[in-house]
Amino acid sequence: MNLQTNPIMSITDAIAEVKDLHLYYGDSEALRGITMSIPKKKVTALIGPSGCGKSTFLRCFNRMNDLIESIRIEGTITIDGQDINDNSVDVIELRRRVGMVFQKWNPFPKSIYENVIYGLRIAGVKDKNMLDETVEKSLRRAALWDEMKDRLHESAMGISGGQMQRLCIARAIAVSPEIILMDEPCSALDPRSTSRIEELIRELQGDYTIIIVTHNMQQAARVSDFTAYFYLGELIEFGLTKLVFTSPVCKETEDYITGRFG
Amino acid sequence: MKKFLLRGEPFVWATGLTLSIIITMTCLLLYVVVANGIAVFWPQKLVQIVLNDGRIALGEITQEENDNNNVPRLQLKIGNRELNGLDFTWVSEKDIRSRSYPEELYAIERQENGNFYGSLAEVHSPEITVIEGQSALAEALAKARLQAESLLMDKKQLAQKISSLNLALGKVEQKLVGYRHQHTDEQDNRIKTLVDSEANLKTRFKELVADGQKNTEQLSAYYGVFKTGDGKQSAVRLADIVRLYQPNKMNVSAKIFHYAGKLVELFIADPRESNTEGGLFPAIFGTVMLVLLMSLLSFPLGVITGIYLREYAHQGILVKIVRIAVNNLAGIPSIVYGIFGLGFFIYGIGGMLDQFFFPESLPSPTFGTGGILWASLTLGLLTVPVVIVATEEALGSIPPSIREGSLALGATRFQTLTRLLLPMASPGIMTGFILAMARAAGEVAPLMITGVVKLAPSLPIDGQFPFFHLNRKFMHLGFHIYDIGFQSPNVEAAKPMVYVTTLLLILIVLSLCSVAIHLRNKMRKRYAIADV
Repeated sequence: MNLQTNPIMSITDAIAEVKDLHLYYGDSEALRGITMSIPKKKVTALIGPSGCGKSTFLRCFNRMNDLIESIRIEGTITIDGQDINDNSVDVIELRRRVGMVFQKWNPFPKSIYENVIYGLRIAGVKDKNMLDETVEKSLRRAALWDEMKDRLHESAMGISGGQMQRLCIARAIAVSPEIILMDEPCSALDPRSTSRIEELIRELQGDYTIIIVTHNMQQAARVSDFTAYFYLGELIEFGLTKLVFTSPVCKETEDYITGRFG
Repeated sequence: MKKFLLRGEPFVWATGLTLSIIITMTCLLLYVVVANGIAVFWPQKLVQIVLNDGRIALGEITQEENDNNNVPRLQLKIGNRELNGLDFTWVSEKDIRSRSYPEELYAIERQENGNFYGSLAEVHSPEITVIEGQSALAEALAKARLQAESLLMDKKQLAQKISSLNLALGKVEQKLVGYRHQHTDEQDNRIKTLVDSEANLKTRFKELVADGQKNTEQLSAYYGVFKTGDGKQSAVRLADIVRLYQPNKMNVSAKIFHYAGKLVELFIADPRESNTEGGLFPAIFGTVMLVLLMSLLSFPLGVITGIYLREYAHQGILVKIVRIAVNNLAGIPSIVYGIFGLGFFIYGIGGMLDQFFFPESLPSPTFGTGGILWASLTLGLLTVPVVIVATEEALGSIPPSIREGSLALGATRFQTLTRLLLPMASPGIMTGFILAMARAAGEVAPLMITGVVKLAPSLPIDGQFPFFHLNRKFMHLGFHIYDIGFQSPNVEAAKPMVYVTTLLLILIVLSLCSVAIHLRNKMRKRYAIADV
């Protein structure tokens, strides 16, 4: 194990604890014993070269990997002290607590309104006032309200890519999750939309725990409080973003960040 | 040259050529059907041809062609089957001395013996007898027809009474057979009342039949004597006349009126003259009902199977085999489905139903014989693979990000399916459904052994309790085409009807499909996903 922890990394207020997490796709080991804590109500960025396992790791938090049949997981992830891979955990409930925003925006072919309250609808909420309120609150939170308030009942298919991605964030917020997972949320967006999403992430930090996977070093530096560097399924370095970017402990991290490798 | 080939232009031309060949063939087929079908009801002029040997031929020109020696010849529909034995004759152009179109000629559509062409010679009724003067005769004919009207109405009413009496009698007899089957005592009150009512009904029946005979006798006093081109005379009872017109006298509006009348008859009347004349109502009804019943079975079954295969089944070797099997199922000859339907549905399930629910009428079967239910179940089996494949394809073409998005919000797989996937897949599913419907509507072979008949005495839905008679045999446009086109004793006379029936079948398939296509387009618009 060449995991070298940054001296600052004694997280006192952690929402999730990952202990010796191994993940296998069939015979190949994609995650090789990850141990880390996710600080509460902070933004944690996961960086690393393609195929290093950061997206797979991210999807462990809401058990999206369950959808793939050949996957096997060892080790534990606890959120608020509960092992989420335990049989007693209701995966539906877990996914309500751990929202997710995908690399490719995926609004449903419904109205903007229905998109936002999709999570509530499937949870069986029928109260019209509550739904209306949630829509407004979530859209405001996602900085979309002013653009969307007059066209709530139009199809979500008619808005721009950046707006769609923010709509997906609003949709995730609407079910009031504790953690929001973001899987390269800006990789398909133009710079302008990207900066709006980044702003949004900064605003959400403090209310939600955000884990974001990104390929963009500058973005990680801009939006995150903590950064974890993954390489070949291992966590190489984890620490406060400003320390990781200014004085990385490991040589590999430094190489990657400075662009000598990756 | 090499560059030219590299650019692939010949390939583009080939694709265009193939398309145009297909379009041309389709258009040609439609043209033949439409051109022949649409003019059938338009009243043709009656031509009187004097031949070189002095004989006279009278009738409608139905066809012109060259004979083996390249001499043009005409085909005439001369009608008057009871005199000529044949409806059609060929006249060589070189034998014709003169042609004329006398205005006083009548064309008569009759209940029996096909059309009659000729001029009016005498009119007889109990009150009037006119034997001279074309205008006086025409007047007298109209008058006599008016007088016969009330008798004709009586005749219709009598026929209706007799048929409902027949049904009542049948029911009583069936009950009686049922009690006797259970070995109920002959002195039992229930049997006694039944026997009494049976006797009552039978007396009533005899009375009605006697009334009918009297009515027929009275009606036979009304008749016209018509003279053919070659001077033969034939008496035509007014009761036998379905439609009477003078085509050479008609102007365009009269012709349009005639055409419209024939069209209405086509849609609402029963067929006459072993199906070569009259309407197609029972066949239209049977076809539409068959397709709708078929959809009720095949649509849910196919969609549910498709969902399971795509969404729930473990995508292993077994599912692959099932998928191949389903695809192959669509390629099995339809007659094989017919035989399966006969063996499994009719003899198997139908026979079982008969044993449990209708043992009293055995050995004559109730459900153990061909009927619209079994035919539509058979067609359902035949079309279900199309729906399954379409459902699978439609579900498969939904991007996985939509599923992930829904699941990540805490939706169950079932919620994802019903709220997102099915609506999004619905246009594709509808496409499969349209294909299935079109196939089912045009299928004839399996029907021939599962319940279609040349002439069904009653419709599968009527006013008799329990209103839906799914065990009844039915008529079908596709089978109708086969039957009158190839099984009729008088194929030439049936030809116009074959075209009309074909046209109608095409129109029905087209309209069923356009409804479905309209629905699909609406859904497609609604559930289109963003261009990504």
